Amino acid sequence: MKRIIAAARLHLLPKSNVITMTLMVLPIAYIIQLGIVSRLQLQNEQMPGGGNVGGVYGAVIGALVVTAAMAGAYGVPHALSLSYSRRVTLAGLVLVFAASSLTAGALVAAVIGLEQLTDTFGTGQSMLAIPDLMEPAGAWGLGLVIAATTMFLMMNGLLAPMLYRRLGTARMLIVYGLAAVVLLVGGAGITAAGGWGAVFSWVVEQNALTWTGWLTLGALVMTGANWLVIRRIPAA
Amino acid sequence: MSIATGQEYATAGEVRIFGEHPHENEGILPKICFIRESQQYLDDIRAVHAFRAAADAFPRWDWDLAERLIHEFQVPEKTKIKKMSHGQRSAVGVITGIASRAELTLFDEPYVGLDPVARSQFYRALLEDYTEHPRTIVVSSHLIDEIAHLIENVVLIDHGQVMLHEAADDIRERAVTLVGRDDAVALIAGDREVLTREEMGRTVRVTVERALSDAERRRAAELDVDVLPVGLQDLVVHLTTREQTSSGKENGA
Repeated sequence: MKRIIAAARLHLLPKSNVITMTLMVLPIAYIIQLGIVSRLQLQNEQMPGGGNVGGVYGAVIGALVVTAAMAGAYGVPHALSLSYSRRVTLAGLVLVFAASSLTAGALVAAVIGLEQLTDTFGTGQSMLAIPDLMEPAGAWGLGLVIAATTMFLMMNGLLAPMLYRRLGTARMLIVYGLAAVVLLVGGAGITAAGGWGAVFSWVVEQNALTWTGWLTLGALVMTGANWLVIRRIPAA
Repeated sequence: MSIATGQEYATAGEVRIFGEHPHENEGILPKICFIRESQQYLDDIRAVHAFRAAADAFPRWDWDLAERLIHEFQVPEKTKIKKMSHGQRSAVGVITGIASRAELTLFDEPYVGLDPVARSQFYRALLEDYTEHPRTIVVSSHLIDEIAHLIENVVLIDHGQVMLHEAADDIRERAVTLVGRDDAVALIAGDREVLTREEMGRTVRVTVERALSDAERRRAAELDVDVLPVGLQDLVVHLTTREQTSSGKENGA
């Protein structure tokens, strides 16, 4: 465990790291979006599409996925050069990604709480709340969904550069192409069977806690995929 | 080296370090430090972060030694590694390797980019620390003469084949250079195999196999023949050239 924590600490040494990234990007994105919403309200206009949640989440999760990809491209070779085994290297990354995801989720929940207290700083329009995902656990339930989503996408972000190192550009694109084909064939199969209605019903039936469970399962599957790749990638 | 340090898979054969397979072996890996010519670092990391990471990774890390070497090599600790010169990056690797005090430390051409003064500092620091804290240090190098005074054992690898594996002192005793008049040198050389021969008028410079006995040395002095030690690099070149030639002949036969 000591070695796993040491391997995780490696990714937290620079000031701009996978945890401080959330703390920097979320307030900046939030203030920008709040400024846009306030300006539109002054002009008696509304955000296109009605909802205000896309921008902040996109910025935070996007930044974290890029940071995860950078960890795969540079952090993994650095960790291996420090004589960490591959399993300790991956465990360290999972630990630090989990901490980062939970930080993002907790920050989202805390900011939603602040919005509720201040009526979103007088604008009356939340930048983060997603009502469908705030049942049954409120802002903290949504925070869990964000944490699980972030973790799942970060594990995806980690996989891409490691696949590149393992397979090279052409074979990596073939792998992603095959994954896209599987998804398309699956979608076509559902269309052919007239099953989209059942799919949408299933989606609507989910709540924050079940989404958290599914996304956590997805993150675990991606962790397994990352293990299959990292155990065979060249160290340098 | 990558296979021995558990960083790559072996496609054939077997490597054991401290009696165990190193691959994914957390009992062994913290005892191994492998510094490559092109060491890899996190993007945007500064030298000070690289040293902190190494201190976390290697249980026998010595901060006092690291700080002394940082000062000696004038490493700008606050500079991002990706913005450093090749020599400064090499210095970060060299300091990491020495201060790790790992029981098995491997350097793969660690001096690339270092100027002669810094290279000399590296050799001295390595030797000093090894004297105080003996451990196994493997240095892969093409500059054999530069590291000749450091090494106890030589393993010469050419195209993946071990051409030579001997104690450095034994290798040094395997040959000697004689300089003097043609006939006098021939007398001292006797039936020894000649590795190289250079002629300058009546004076010849011949490198022959096997060290001279005390009697032969006295006789050489009487005949005005200078007896010179052979540089390890020259000797390695002679020996391997001969090995390659003989194996070439065998293959051709």
